[in-house]
Amino acid sequence: MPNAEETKTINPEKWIDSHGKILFRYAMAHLQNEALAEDCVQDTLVAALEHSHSFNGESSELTWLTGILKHKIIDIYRKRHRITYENEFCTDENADNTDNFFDQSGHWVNAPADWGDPLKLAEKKAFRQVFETCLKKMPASLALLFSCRESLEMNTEEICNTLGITTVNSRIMLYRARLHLQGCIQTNWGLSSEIQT
Amino acid sequence: MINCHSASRLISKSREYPLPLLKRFSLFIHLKACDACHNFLRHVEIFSRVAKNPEDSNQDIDEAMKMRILNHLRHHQNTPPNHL
Ligand SMILES: [Zn+2]
Repeated sequence: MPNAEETKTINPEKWIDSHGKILFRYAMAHLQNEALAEDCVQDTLVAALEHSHSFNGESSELTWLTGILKHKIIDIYRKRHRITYENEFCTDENADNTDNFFDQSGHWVNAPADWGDPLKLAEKKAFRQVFETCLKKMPASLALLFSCRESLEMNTEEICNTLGITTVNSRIMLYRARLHLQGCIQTNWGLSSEIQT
Repeated sequence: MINCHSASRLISKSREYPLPLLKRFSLFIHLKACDACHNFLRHVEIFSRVAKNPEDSNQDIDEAMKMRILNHLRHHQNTPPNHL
């Protein structure tokens, strides 16, 4: 039986009014789909309602709700990439499978070229498209981990808890994800920027 | 001197935690002499920047959507939880 103070804090109407906009924009930014984003926000608030006792008031209400929303987004990423806990994450901590990016003496096989001003590049729509395509092309577990780390800005501890991998493993996999992006973008951006300019 | 394979690994790791002084130093020396790894360092920062700022959709939650969600929540609130 909830005590009076607990019941007082449960007010979904207030949640939607004060945080709905931010939560929806956050979901839209990461899902690019209105219906999915709406479902995600709705599921977040349902989960918040069910677990309102776990809100300890240490973080702000918005931080707490955003934390739940992140997990809902990850669930959708996981479905998108058909990722299950069991089969996707290799747990071999020595599996530094990055050899094909380097030759025997440790030199780049395809040396990273100068792509131009990083600030301008990040703003270019064409570059973003190449980036998104390359993210989809890499192994799903790497893409999910990279998105958790860089898009959802999770720290190592959150990543390890959510995806059930070790710190060492997450670092190795992030390295592989970045090498994949480097190689894929180098190949495809070179082509599209020639067309563009 | 460390090779590009080791240097690129350090570059990636440096995004996750502060490298120990000695490793930071060997990376610094390598980057002074290697354009490819210097480019990789810049690219890794670009990946982070692009991933963090997805394109803004300009789409907002509207009143109809608010009502749908709220109705769903009210319905949910009035249904006794079945997981207890
Ligand atoms: Zn190098």
